[in-house]
Amino acid sequence: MPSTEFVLPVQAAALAVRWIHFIALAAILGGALAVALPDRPSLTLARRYEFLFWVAIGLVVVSGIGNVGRLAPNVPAFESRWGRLFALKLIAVVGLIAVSTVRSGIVARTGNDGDVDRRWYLLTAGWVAALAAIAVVMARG
Amino acid sequence: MADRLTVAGFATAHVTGLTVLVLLGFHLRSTLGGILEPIGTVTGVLLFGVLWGVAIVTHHYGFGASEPWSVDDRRTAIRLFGAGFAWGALTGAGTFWVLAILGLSGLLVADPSAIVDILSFPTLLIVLLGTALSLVIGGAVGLVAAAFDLGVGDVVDRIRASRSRK
Repeated sequence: MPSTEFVLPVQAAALAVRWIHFIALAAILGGALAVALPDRPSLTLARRYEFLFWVAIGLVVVSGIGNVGRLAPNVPAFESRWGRLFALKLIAVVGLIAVSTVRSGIVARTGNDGDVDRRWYLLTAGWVAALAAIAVVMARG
Repeated sequence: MADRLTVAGFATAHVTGLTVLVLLGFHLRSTLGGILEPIGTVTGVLLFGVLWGVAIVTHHYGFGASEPWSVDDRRTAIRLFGAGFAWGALTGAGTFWVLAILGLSGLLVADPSAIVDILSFPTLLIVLLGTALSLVIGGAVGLVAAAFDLGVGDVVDRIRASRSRK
């Protein structure tokens, strides 16, 4: 039986991990919309967003592992509904990383007088919204 | 600016992509819970943090010679695969060494007399074998990452070319 002193920090850490996951996803979604929605998207803002994105996606992945790790060893099997949704979520994250590498590449090679293509940021926002929807369905069991 | 973005982007894309694909592989075999349980959250975060940090350092120096997003003629497939293997191997070995130093330091702090065990032949053999294994695994992952980078570079080239034609 774990002591109260040990359980409380573990619960606090689990809560902190969930908040890091949520805030990092919100930063990716909000940042993408902030770049995409103005009449003339700013290249400076887009470059800042790319840095933010890569830091945030790293935090999303590491906090996501923490969230799943809390379920161990009882992580639902792939054959269950939750398991299939989780697999779909992981595949969607890999897709987001691949698409974002291309988006970052285009921004990195855009000259200082170049334009930002807002469609990449709308695509990113939509992708993250879909990921959030999957997470909500998973949380409801 | 672009160079720093390249380092941050590719290092994080490689580390997060690899991590998620490994998780997916275990999950598809329904063995994820068994793998995560002995690792634990703190160790898992530490592992990921060390791998991410080492990858950023190796990418910083590695992509100086083979910038996948650059438009110059240095971005040839053979250079990219060579650099991918070399810097992937260094990332693997660097991660192993950082973790080994952290682990052995922890042992020494807990029990200074453990220095005798640490300097023993079996421990040194484990470090040697671990270094060799992490070099090979890192190099193999580096080749996969280089293939990914080459694909991304070509996609970026095509998109930019089609935009400039419009």
